[in-house]
Amino acid sequence: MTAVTEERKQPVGAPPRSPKKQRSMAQQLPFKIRLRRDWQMLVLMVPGVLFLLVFFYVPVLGNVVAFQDFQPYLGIMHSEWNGVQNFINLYGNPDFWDALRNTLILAGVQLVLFFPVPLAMALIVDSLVSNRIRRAFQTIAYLPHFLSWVLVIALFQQSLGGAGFVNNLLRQAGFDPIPFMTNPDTFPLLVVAQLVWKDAGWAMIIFLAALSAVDVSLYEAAAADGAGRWRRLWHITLPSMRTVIVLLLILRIGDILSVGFEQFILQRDSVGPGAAEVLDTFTYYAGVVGGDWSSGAAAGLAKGVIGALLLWGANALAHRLGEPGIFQKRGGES
Amino acid sequence: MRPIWKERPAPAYQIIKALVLGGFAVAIIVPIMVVISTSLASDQDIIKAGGYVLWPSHPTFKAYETLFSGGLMVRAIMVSVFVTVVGTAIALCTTIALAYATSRPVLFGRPVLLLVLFTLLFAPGIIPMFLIVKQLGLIDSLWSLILPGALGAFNFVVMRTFFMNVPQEILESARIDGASDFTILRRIVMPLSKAVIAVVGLFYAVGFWNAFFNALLYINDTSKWPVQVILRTYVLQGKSLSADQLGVTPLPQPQSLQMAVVVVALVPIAMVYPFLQRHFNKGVITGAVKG
Amino acid sequence: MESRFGRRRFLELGGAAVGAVALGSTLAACGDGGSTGGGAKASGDVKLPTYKAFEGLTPDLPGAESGLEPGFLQFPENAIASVQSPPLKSAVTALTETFATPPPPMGSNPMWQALNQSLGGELKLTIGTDPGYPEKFATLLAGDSLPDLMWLPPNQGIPNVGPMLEAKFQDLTKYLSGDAVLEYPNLAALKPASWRTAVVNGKIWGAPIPSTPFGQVMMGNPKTWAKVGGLQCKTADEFFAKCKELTRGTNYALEPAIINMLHMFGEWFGAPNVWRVNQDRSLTHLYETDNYRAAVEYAAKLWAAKVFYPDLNLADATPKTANGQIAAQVTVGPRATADFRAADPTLFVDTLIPFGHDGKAKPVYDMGYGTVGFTPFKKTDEGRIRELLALINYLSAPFGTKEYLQKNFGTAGQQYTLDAKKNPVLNAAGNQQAPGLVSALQIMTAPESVIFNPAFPEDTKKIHATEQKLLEFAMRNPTAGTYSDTSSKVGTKLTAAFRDTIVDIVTGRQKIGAYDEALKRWKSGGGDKMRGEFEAVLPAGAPVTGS
Repeated sequence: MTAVTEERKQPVGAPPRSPKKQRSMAQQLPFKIRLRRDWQMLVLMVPGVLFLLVFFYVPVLGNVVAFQDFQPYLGIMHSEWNGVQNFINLYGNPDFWDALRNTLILAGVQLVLFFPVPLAMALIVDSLVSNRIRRAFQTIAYLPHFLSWVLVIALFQQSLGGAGFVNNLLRQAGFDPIPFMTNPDTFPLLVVAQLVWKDAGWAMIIFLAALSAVDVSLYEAAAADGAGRWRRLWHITLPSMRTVIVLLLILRIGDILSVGFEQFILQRDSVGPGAAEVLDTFTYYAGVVGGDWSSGAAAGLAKGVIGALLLWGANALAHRLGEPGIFQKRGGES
Repeated sequence: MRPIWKERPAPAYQIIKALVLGGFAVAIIVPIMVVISTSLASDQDIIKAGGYVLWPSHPTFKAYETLFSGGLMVRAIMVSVFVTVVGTAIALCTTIALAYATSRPVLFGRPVLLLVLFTLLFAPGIIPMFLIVKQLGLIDSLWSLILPGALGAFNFVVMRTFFMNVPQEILESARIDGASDFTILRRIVMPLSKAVIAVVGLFYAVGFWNAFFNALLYINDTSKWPVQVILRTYVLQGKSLSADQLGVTPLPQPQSLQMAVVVVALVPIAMVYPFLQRHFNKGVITGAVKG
Repeated sequence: MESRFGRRRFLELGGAAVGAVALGSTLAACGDGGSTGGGAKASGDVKLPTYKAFEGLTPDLPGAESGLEPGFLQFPENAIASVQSPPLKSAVTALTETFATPPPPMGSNPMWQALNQSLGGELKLTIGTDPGYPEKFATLLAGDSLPDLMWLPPNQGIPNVGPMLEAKFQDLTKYLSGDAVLEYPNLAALKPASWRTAVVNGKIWGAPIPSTPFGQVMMGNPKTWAKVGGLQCKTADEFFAKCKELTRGTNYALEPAIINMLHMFGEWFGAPNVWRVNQDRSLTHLYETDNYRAAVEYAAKLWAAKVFYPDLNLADATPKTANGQIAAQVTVGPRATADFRAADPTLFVDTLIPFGHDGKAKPVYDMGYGTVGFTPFKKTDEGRIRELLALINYLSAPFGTKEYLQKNFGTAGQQYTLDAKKNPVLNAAGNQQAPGLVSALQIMTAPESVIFNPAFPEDTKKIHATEQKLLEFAMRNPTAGTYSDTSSKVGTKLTAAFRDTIVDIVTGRQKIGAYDEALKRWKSGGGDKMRGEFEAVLPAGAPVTGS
């Protein structure tokens, strides 16, 4: 990793090399030379680009139905155009704004409370000495990812629900049951708990992969120099993983308007739409339930535009902090 | 052996660590055990417990027998394995190639990158997607389950980031030695990126294994249905529309059948992980670089 | 979500009670004079297929025009042939949905092959599942790759049915209206009430798929209710007291399906079946009545007394009702007792007969939708239409016929055997090949329903008796079989929004005052428009149900 390479020459903790430097030369070369130089890279792009064109860009044009009163039996060619009416409807619907507010709150809580968990877990797992324990824990921790939300929520209900294990114990002990599953005020915490249970072990994998790329000789050297565990974590481990952490953060922020669908629609009744209605469930009720394809497409487009702005903003911020982010601002080799 | 940088931590840390990991593991194992127990539970067990069973007092494989009777499930598992294996291989090749080609400042690198990033934000509708698949003549072909998933933007971005972090001096020295881009990718970048290839491969495999909606839309021939579609019909319905009217012998308790379904969906894909784990172990990469 | 949505949605399909009916369809009985307006006039003009009951089979317990289902204590010994020659000359494709496990594919399903044999051609089914059916339907429609037959569900969010049918499907009026249907005797044996489903814009678009005409009922485990003197009650207060008494420790009185429970309470408080017909032939929606509002308050009172099982996410209460953890739950129609027999063969659950909330008022029993939609044909020529009609005629063969046996049980000795009482029982091969196939066939074509519990003939008698009791209070949705554009477009959405508020009110998240606010939004969002449209086409035969 860049950071690691740098640190071989520089003192521990120096910022990684800016990606800008590498590119400055490429800009001046004439097209023909670059073509000759890069043709192999272009060949490598072909399958991916072909895929994108056929299975994404052509069908994505179908989103023009957002500006129609689309009816499947008429098709795109014969459905009526209605301008931005679908967007106006969306804008004028107070439920949409409630759903947006809930989505942002839940996304915020997830970002703060969920995002660091797999990272912390990966660090703990990485610090284990015994390979057996490490492997056993990884294998167990990632299993819940394969359970559907229906089941995860049913299992939560079995343990924390009004008639669940914990509350039955409380009742027997003479206490009032605690409405873990139905209190709208604590719903974001419940959501995070479910998320941690289901996906923390899974999300940990990517961090483990990043950790495996850290050069152990750095640890050896640092340990020999007498740097303690926290110092090493702070000065070697985290800087080495910074690129990946920042990348995942940016991706999450760009996708912040999607906080999940099934998890919410399943619990919508028990905590009420006031807390559990998110953009995706709103779209489901507004569009899919009534077979209103156009509204669905309009909501999707709006979400995409907002996501694009957030993605761009987060990426720009990452640049400010000297991170490569997802894409580089100044490149211009095209 | 305990490496030098893993000095024995203070007992307090050890206890905290053990509690965190142990607690998390128990929180996962107990519910999974409930799932397995329920899948093995008899009708009486389930009625007695009113649903989930912690420990089956009359264990039976009836639910599994029901699932696997008729041969539909075995065929579906074969379909799913095929789609998962071939799909993952194709997706990995596409992703590795594209990620590598855009990991350095090359001709058209940036617009292609933007092309991919755009897919993170917008989604094609169900209907246009169906029309494309139909135009390509892929309806009722297993390729309709593979090709539309041949590149995931998230996986691409992750892969590319790892590729960009491959030490540049290694690449440059290879280039000075006259290695082509193909060679560099095959001989240097890929061996150095085993961990991320394993991760992304796992992500793809799980994605292909779990996918069901495309099959609902593109595959009319039930003998080509992947396992998830069939499993969902067990979890979702449990009751035949007019079983009462027809006098159809009742199915086993839906609950045990549903949990058997969960187990069947989980086991094959869960088996993949232990094989990949070694790629996450320390030392693999350093060894490769030094050698 | 699906496990719950699948089942709830299905319950609502059968119950079709509270709320808008997504599929608008027809008119009412032919010859109504009262209605005005072009579309309604056109609807009034169509002559429904002539009803000619199937002869040659006498049920042990008679059915009736009122909706009472005929009961059979055992399967008729000598099945009659209702079809003279195989209906098909070439293969037919059809889109349907299975509510059971998908069947083994045609190539490895001897039962399917035998059916093809007796049909005279291959019946190629494209089998959809839930969720995904509306999407599958829409993609096929948009892709212009229509199969010959496409089941059109009444409640899965397929809007604008009228124009869609006109654009893509075959008008069958000429072949089915009036005496024309007599050419297809099994279709003529479908009741006029069922046929109304299949009439849109004054045209007949396919054969209806009858299901039980009964709506939701509350069922309770008699062992549980014995402690408080049984499930039947005289007043709402008595029910309340019993519920409180039954709620002890980890046992609860009521299943947490609030909307369905509320539907039951509404019946006791005299709330109408979706729309109330006033003296002046104007309509009042369920949500606008004080009766429903009172039911909401009553439900909130029950909720506050903690008699509902506390986990609203509970997917299926059946095992808990069977073991006594939950005392009562809501199911569709008295025949649902069989679901509990399936869970516990020793259990015959009790069905609550609606009562007046104060012991004096007359309760209501809401009848259901009566069909699960209809199956329109792709546009085609006359020869093919006749072939497809003959196919549907075969598949709609009534209970007790040879064709019915072939469709539901397969071939004697292959898929089924006769038990000691001469009832057909699926054998091991049949249990593999039949359920998915039969479910897929049943949802796209069916005869009029009957009560038949081969293993428990006593149940059949009891269910028949219960149905008669329920019919005393029966009320039908007066707009059933009429079409409102607004209802077809936004009805489902409006209902969903209103229900959110009442669930909030019942569970104490909002005050009862929110009811008026939600009602206002329901009215301005399309409720008032719907009323107008339904009033304009209100059948003269619809009885007045309010002052």
